[in-house]
Amino acid sequence: MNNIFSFPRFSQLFIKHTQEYYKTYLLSIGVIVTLLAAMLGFISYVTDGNLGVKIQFAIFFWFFIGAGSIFTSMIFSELGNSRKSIAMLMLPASHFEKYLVAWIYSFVIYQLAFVLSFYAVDLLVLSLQNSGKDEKMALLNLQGIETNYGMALVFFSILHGLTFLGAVFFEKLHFIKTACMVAVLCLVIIFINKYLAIAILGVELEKVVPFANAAFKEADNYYTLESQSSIKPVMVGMAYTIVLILWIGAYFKLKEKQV
Amino acid sequence: MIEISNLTFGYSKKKLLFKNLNLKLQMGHIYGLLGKNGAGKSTLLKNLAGLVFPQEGFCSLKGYRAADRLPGFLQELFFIPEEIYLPGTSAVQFAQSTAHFYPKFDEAQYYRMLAEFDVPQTSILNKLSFGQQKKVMIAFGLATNTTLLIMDEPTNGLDIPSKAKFRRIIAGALTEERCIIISTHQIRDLDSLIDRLLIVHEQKMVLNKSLDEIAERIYFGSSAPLDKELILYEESHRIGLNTMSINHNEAFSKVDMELLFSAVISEHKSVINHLN
Repeated sequence: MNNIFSFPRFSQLFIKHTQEYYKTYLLSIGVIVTLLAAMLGFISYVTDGNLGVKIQFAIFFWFFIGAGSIFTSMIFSELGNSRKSIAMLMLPASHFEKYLVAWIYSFVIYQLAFVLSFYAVDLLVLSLQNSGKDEKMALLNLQGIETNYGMALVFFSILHGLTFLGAVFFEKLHFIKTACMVAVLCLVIIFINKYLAIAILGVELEKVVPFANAAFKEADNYYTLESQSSIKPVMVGMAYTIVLILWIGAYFKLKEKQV
Repeated sequence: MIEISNLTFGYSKKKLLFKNLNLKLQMGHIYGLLGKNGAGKSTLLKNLAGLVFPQEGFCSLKGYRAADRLPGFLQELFFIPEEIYLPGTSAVQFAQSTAHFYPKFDEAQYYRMLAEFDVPQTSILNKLSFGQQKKVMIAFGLATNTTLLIMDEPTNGLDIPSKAKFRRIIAGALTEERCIIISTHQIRDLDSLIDRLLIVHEQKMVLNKSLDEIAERIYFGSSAPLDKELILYEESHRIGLNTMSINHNEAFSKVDMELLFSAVISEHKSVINHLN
């Protein structure tokens, strides 16, 4: 018997999880659709039908990472309840299979559900606002240079990694505790980054944004330092490496879980 | 074979619940696990199930270490905790989604036991009363036909007729390839059910004997024997005296588990010494 991964066993586990949680997940999709409709509809109304591509992308981006983080932080909520965690941990499937079901739901299925929900609502709002107008607003293109899905995916993946680990690590109030942990982590990074950049560049910096740019003033001239475009794939690669480490950490935390 | 080897466990390193505890459990027996509140009965069962990890030593079942919680181990064990969780599905749907994880699951046996417990098959499980939910869990656990079935306070929440049915069903479900451990503080619920007694007390397994062995060595009576020196322990009540004395005549008496347990936890070493 394969004690790490067996496809039939994994399929059975996936079906069992779906049967037990599909109502909750459908309800969550309903909430997202309602909130997206309210937000897109409200902005379309107050801007007199000028719901541009950039605004659509901004709403897409913040809802995507916000709802994704909340959903992911609750994916292991049963581990915070001793009765449910015994039922989960005692089920004859490997830790990897249990982990994979949660990962697929929170990372893959969530993305599919969110993108489909967003476009369904966006199409409806745009068709309503464009009706009877000569100048029609374009639908969000996630392949655009400034509205690229890849960029949103990097941010979502990092937050997914953090909240996925937080979901296993914390027993209660997963989202709040993970959000506090992320806030502290960001502050530490900003603090270290600032003094590190000053030490490396040897000038007093006006503005430093971690992993993005640094700006300084010299003889009334304002300079902004940005990474070359050739370095961007390296940064994306580093981001995904961190995500991978967080995912691996979550797996081992699940293996070590005690009730 | 179920083995606990040199188990040392505590929720903090300073206060240990067990120290170098050793135990071997054999197939074909129903073990009753007794201990005072806080003695660590539930914790010992969680160690056996791999739900907590020992500081030293290990628990194993068929060569699998409990703490690894591998599927091969999990499909040989079913754990019914004191507080149970059942999903919002019916008993039928629950079996359809969960039974295939247990290779020896007997569907007919499951439905037969549900019928015997008077549990409706189509009602939503998490809407049932606690007692009804417990019956579903017991029926499912027995139908899995796992090598080891662990039950922590299984009779909590069961009404009096259900407790009698529980004893009957458990006794009928025991086979030579299976071992059942029942932890309880309701000693009377185990009457005529268990055949081996385990008592955990002060970090140790102070007793691990079959009821036959106990009855061979100790005579349980309701009056004092003529020879006072034979008395190991006595407890007076309103209308008389319950005694435990050395069974030198090899006379038969029914083991009074409550009296034996009282003797063991009230530091009557003579009882333990005599039995061991």
